[in-house]
Amino acid sequence: MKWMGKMAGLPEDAVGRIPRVVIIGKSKIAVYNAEKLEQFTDQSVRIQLSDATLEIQGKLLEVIELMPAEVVIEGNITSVCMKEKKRG
Amino acid sequence: MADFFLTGAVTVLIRGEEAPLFPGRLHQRGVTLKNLQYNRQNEVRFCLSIRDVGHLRKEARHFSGTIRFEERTGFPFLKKRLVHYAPFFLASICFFIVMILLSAMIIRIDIQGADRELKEDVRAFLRKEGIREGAIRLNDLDAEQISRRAVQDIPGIVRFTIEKKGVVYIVDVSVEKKAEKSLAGSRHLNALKSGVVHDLFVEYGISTIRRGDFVEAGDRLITGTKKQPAAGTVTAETWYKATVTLGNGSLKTRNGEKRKSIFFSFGEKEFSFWKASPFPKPVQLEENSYSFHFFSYRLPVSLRTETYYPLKSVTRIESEAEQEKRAIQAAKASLMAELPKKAVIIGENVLQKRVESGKVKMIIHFQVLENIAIN
Repeated sequence: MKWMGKMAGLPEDAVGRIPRVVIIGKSKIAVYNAEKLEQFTDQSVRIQLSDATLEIQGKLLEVIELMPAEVVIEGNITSVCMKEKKRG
Repeated sequence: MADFFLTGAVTVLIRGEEAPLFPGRLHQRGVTLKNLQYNRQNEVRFCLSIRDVGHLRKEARHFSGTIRFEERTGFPFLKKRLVHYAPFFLASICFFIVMILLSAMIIRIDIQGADRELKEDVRAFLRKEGIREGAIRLNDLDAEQISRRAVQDIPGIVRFTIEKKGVVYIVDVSVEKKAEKSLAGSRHLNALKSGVVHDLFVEYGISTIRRGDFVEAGDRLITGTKKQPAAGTVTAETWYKATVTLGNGSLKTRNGEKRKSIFFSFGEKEFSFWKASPFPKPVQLEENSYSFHFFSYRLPVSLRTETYYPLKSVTRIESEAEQEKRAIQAAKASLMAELPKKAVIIGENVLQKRVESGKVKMIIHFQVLENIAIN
């Protein structure tokens, strides 16, 4: 899939289920193609992507929308951290 | 939120050890959630479409904490509530309709400045105009036209104003001032006009005339005394001459068709609700406007209709006899308007008739029976 997209000259996120994270200012963050909302509190939200984990820290976090392909989070975001998932 | 509104949504409160993980599990089942909030220690609140309540139930089986449904929002619940309150809404709508109808009803008509006899006349006239107690009148009062007609129709009236105050119509009437009677002559009854006495009825006094006598205007009819003035009626045959000119001009009549335009206005603005296509030229226009009141407050909604009647000209072919009849009728009608109410027209004769360039000029003589005795 990735290879085919590259051949066609398409941006990587347009092909297949590749996660995409959009941060809007300090208060909004949208994650596309998230796999799973692992944990959710008002201090931290952990989202599992296909090969990494995204951890968002902040205050008064709220998940505005939790749809199968899209997660929108609002609140005072202090840190966004992506960790590679350990295989095996 | 739109999709949630149509399907209906519930707010779910999750409490328990694994509460922060619960939305994730639902998410994996492909459920859409909204407005996730982490409240206190291990307490999560979120919105969920009722379609996905089944998924929630399945997930709840593996969940140790408590799950509570809190608020129900959206169209299905709204509908249910609406059906539940339907009688109330219906009753309030009915109340408004009844109130508007009652506000349009004429509860009382006050007639000022008229004696009892004239009051009856005014009432009869108003009834003819559709203004009577208990009538529901939505269309606006055209005071000017009504007063114009009233002055024409009711004998002895010089001024007529009608005013609507809520549900009460106030009619103010001014009566023609009668010529002041001279006190000296009030003892006897004198003739008002010259004529031939047809019948006489003496209530008090001595009659100086007999049936069949010719009396001149001002002649004494019945003599009374100082103590008891003369009273009675003297019916005499009097004569009137009327000149009528009838044109055989083009008469225009409606041809039976009509088209109606309906406009409704909200506040100052007017919108056309239905616009009739125009007729070719000779057209008569009738305009009616309706307004609605709630108690005495005028609602900002009003209705106006314009009805167009196309006219066609009629070429009349009348025989001379027909023309004569029409002229006599016209003259009679105008004479009747002048005569007192109890007078009767007993005969008419055409004295002269002339036809000039399509116009008929007639002089007609009328014989009238009326009371000529006045004091």
